[in-house]
Order: sequence, then C-alpha cells, then structure tokens
Amino acid sequence: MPGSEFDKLPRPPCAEMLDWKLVEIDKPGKRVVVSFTARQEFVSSSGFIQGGMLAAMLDDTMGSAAFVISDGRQFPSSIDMNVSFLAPAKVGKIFGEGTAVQLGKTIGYLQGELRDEAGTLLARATSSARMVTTEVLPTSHKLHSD
Amino acid sequence: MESAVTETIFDAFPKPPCAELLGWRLIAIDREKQQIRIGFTARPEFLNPAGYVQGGLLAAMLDDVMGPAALVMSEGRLFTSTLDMTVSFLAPARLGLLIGEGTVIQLGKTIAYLQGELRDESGTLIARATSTARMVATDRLAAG
Repeated sequence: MPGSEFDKLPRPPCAEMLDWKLVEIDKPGKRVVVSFTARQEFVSSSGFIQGGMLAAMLDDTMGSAAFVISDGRQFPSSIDMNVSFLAPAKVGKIFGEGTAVQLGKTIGYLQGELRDEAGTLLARATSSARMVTTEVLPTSHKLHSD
Repeated sequence: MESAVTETIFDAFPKPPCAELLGWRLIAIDREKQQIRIGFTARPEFLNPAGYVQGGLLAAMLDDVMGPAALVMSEGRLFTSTLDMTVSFLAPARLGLLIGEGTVIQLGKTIAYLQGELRDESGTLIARATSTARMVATDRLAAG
C-alpha cells in the first residue's frame, strides 16, 4: 500500500493485537478495505471467534474509513454500534470493508462488513460516532491508567 | 439474593481463549435477578489511538457477560450464539479493572434476550448493550 493518512498516526495497540493492515482506499466510494488476523486467543467456547472480537474488528474497520475519508483530520469516537453476526468465523485472515456513509462536523455515520477469505459475509455493523479532530490525539500512546 | 461464588456451572467448561484474553472472572451470581457479575482486565493491547480502550473490545467484554448470564440461567444446558448486539458507549474506559453485569431478560427454547452493563471501579457506567442470541445445547459444544 502506498502512502496514506495512516502514516501520520502512530499505530495503536489494538490495531497491533488485531493485526490490522490497510488493503485498499477508495475515496470516491468513501470506502476502505483492511485485513485482520483472527487469533487463537479470540476463540470462544463454541470453537469459533467470539462475536465481540468481530465487533472489535468492525470498530477498527469503520474507524479507518472515517479517518481516511476525513483526509486524516478527524477520528471517530464511537457513540453506538449495532452488529449482526451472520456466519461463524474461524481462526485466520478476515477482511473488513468500512464505509463512511455520511461525515458531518460532529457526527459520522459508518458501516462495516467482515468477510473471510472465501468471501463469506461473517458480520455487519452500523455505527454512529462523534468526530474528534486528530489534533487532540496523543502523539505517543500515553496510557490513561491514572 | 447474590450468592457467594464457590462451585459453579463454569467449572464444567474449559475456560475459552477469549475469556483468558479479557481477564474474565466470575464475581457473583444472582438467580432471582437472573444476573451475573464478571470482572475483566483492560490491557494495554486494547487501547485505541486516543489512549482509551477500543470500543469493540468493550463490546467483546459485554458479549462475555451476556453469554455467561444465559449459560448460568439455563443451568448450563444452553450456550449462546450471538445473533446481534447493540452497544452504546457512554464514557471512555481506561486500563485496569472493569466490572460487567449481565442480565437475562427472557430465555426461550431457541432465542434469548440479554442485556449487559460495564462499569469502572468507581461505578461510572462505561458502556451498555442489548443482544439477541440463538440458544444451542451445550452437549453440542466442541470437546476440549
């Protein structure tokens, strides 16, 4: 992937954990494609990837779309998220497609889809988010633990 | 009444990897209220670019309070396969202990209606969720 808005942003720990990778940016379509690796640590009692971990991937898919489509000026702070789980997900590669349906000054409406390598739709989500200027982001990952 | 946690239905199941990752631990079971309380540990790996716990990982914790609530209230006979989940994010979450409360609103033969809340140690409501789930017999769980 050539240079993108993400080059300016330090890679957050959750992107590392989910093995977030940028695959494609489609600005006219207000869309990004990213990929993740569903790890053994994400497996639930059912033997498949826990639904909440898929929600974490969808959150990072939709957030990526909002960030890129705002040309790196804003990042989303999720207000709410509605996720539907359509098929069980296995350990391995998962693709996320995020779309910035509408970006306002303060609120973004986002949607996301997750598919496995065979193209099976695993989960889909919609989300509304408060759009925050990236200037307020910490330059390094200061841990808000105190 | 909230009962002290000694032997529970969870002893009969191996702890899944995602529960390990989230630092899942049972705190209390309240059968009258159809409610359980679970502790989690938000780890540095869960942080987003803003330095707070990523919302999706809070959703993962909420999923892991609502599912176990259904398992306990079905006396360990049924586990949940989540169909959908709606999460509202109310306050940013920092590293450390988070406490989840999962409630079974209605448990049918095939569908369960669940709700969950996540609070920090000071009692601030961080996120809440509702979920519908398909109920699957636990004897169909993969062994090991």
